[in-house]
Amino acid sequence: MLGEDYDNLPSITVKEPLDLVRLSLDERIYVKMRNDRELRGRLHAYDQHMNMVLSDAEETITTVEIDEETYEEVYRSTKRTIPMLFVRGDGVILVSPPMRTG
Amino acid sequence: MSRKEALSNFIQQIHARPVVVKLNSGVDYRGVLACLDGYMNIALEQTEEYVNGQLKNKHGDAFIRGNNVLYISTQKRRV
Amino acid sequence: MSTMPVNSSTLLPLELVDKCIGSRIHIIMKNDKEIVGTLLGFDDFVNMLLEDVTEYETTPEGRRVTKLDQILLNGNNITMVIKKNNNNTRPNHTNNIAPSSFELLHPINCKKK
Repeated sequence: MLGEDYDNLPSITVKEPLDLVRLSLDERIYVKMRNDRELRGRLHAYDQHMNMVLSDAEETITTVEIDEETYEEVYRSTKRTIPMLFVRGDGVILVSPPMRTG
Repeated sequence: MSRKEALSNFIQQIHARPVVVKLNSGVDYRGVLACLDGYMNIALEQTEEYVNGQLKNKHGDAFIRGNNVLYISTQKRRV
Repeated sequence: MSTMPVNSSTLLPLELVDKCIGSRIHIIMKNDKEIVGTLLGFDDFVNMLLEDVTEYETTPEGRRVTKLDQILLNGNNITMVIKKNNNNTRPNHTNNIAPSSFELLHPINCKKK
């Protein structure tokens, strides 16, 4: 049983960057997109272009507005949930699997 | 072709070393380079995201799609 | 129909870059960014390995300068490469190319009137 835990740590070698994405299949991942969009959802499928299928996805769109009186930058984020989502790979900047803890 | 060797040597050397990856958008990612492919797709560990020099986010592991990458930078190995 | 004249003085663009290896070069990027460094190597995509690099970028806050030891520069956003005519690097053997041809391309020398 102890061995299993060890197997999960260093034996999962990431030989090419896409392996990191393969290891995240069926996990909830974070995706940073162009145009200040972020996605969080369960990764069902991906390909070499980083086209992806996410389920139970939450999209966060961040916009910056300048307050007309104080000239301060006001960050506003809008969220929506999408049950099943296809993501086109060319908009993807970064994909991060959930933190592996313990 | 010695000019190509310099690149492939560099790519072999930087594995498991701390790097700064700068994207075209100006965002910096600092972390330990896990691996790299021919598209400049990058896998980073202990990733920190810096926007305008300020730490904005942390990720355990991160895959960065190569088309966004401006450069990968290292510190020289001090002997 | 004729192909380009085969002339011993004809130089392929990448051969020109090859002649910059070991020298300080000035790179103009697509997005108002400029990079100066010593060229150590490059590949068919003109991805470049550079050493002792200075990056110049223009941001809304003004000009920002970043110093870097070694970088692998993505060739995708390179528009121009200019060899700096300096004497403190390894001796160059550019017999076919007059150094002045680089200076002519140098935008810093082409001050707008």
